[in-house]
Amino acid sequence: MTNKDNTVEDLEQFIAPPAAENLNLEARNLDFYYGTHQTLFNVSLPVERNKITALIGPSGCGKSTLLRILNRIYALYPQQYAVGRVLLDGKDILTDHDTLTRLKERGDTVTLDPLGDDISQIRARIGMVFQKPTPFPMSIYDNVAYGVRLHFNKSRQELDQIVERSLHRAALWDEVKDKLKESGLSLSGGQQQRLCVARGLAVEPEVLLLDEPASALDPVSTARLEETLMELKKDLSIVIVTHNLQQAARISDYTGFMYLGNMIEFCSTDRLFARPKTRRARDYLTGRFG
Amino acid sequence: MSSNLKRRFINKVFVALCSLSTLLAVGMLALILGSLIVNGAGGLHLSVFTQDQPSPGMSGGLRNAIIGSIAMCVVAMIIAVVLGIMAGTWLSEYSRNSKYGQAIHFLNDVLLSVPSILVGLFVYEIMVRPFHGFSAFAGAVSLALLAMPIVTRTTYDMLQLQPNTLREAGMGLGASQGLVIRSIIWKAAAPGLLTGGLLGFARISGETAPLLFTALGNQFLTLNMTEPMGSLPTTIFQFAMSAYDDWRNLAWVGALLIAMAVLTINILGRVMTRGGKR
Repeated sequence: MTNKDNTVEDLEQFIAPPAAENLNLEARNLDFYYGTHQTLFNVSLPVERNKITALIGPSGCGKSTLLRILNRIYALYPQQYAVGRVLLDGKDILTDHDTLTRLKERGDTVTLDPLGDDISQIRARIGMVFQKPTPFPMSIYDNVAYGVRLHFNKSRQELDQIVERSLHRAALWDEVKDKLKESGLSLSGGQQQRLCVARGLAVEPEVLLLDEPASALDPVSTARLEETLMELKKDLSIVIVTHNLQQAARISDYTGFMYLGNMIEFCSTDRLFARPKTRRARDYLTGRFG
Repeated sequence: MSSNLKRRFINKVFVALCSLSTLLAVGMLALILGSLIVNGAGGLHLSVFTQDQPSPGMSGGLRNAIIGSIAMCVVAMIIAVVLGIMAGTWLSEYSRNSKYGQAIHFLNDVLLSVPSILVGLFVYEIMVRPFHGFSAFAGAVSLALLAMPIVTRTTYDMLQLQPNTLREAGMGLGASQGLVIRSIIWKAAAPGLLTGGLLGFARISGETAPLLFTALGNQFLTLNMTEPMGSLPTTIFQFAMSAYDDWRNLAWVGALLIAMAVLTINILGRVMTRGGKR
């Protein structure tokens, strides 16, 4: 498998990718570097609106890295940089000076269509939930309200409604409605993770990125989280990195299989699990390696 | 079998040595506290807190020294905590892997172990000589210089303990780095930051040398920070070396007060950090 085998066009050899007008988020020909070490090679990923897209592959294959490019969280670390395009509703979001220079160096001649410079707004539209729950050291209410207070000027009443609705959508309301003033840290692991989902939902993102959100959860909490995601995809697009193949099969519409920084296969989940095209994917799905 | 016996023997010896050294260390502490209580507790009257230090042969207390100590320590801690937390935050959050940051970090560690008399001399040169006079403020600055590296170091360590995902979660919601630090990271590290402050305070509350060069000492009560000011350590220093029994008794009382204050602060710090850990 060479790097050239996985551009967006080539994906058609596996299955027709989501139609362009249905794409909510799209990564095109991404390279990624930790310092001088390249960890992603020409990776593309279409994310269809109101679908769940799963990323699978052995540890270190670049799934999380890809996810971290999609909302530019990698940019917090000076040693890390991405080269390529990420489009949110057709508008470029990797438009910082560094990326542009490197795009030119790589020989890309495309003209970008920038969404805007405000990275804070971009991140508000693309929410992220991490592997370990990351409740802030404040009350449950303030956790959920954190992003809302940041971006919108809401009255107390409106804020109350948003908090309640977000907790409902994350399927946590019934468990916490009587203790909104208690610390977010007082919840169980599964509840904390759903609190983080609620916190992300409160700012009404279009896309929700989840980086192995269930790996620290017990089966019951995992099931609840999965139900929540299935429910949420009515309103937004979801990208989920997971080590749990059954989980990917259960909840996702599309699945990308990554290996050593390459997108080896991307197609509908049913198709990938039933008839993987490549030997690597087949071996991984049948547990022969990884 | 014989190797088994040998192993057990070595184990016994090792445990015995450990216990012995622990006993020695704790024993020393007990001896110090014991002699402080034996010699100091007897002189602990209300007058210690209500009267200023006496001339030889007169009755008196330590009010001016106690208040002076508190005043200078409070000012010093305000300076040290503000600067120390800022510096520690910069080192931990903003200067990651930069050469400049590493250099500052190293220098701060050097500052941690600078002899206090050097700090006293330094402040004497920059604050006492130019203004032709000893002042409580110069004393507070020299104490702040001693406490600040401790606060800086503790702040740095405590912020480093906060997981990166917490920062990413904050910034992932669109918050700026500064806001994430102020509204999330500091809060999460609050018990640790408090401990740093208390450690710094414990360090400076008994410092004598820097105060001799800066605040000098004052046998009268004053709250004017531009004048020389008395303090417990300098008064103990003066009284303990004197030939008068009543002065030496007061020195014991002063020493007991400092020891108790440090002990209380440390216990308070422990309790508060434990409360924060949940």
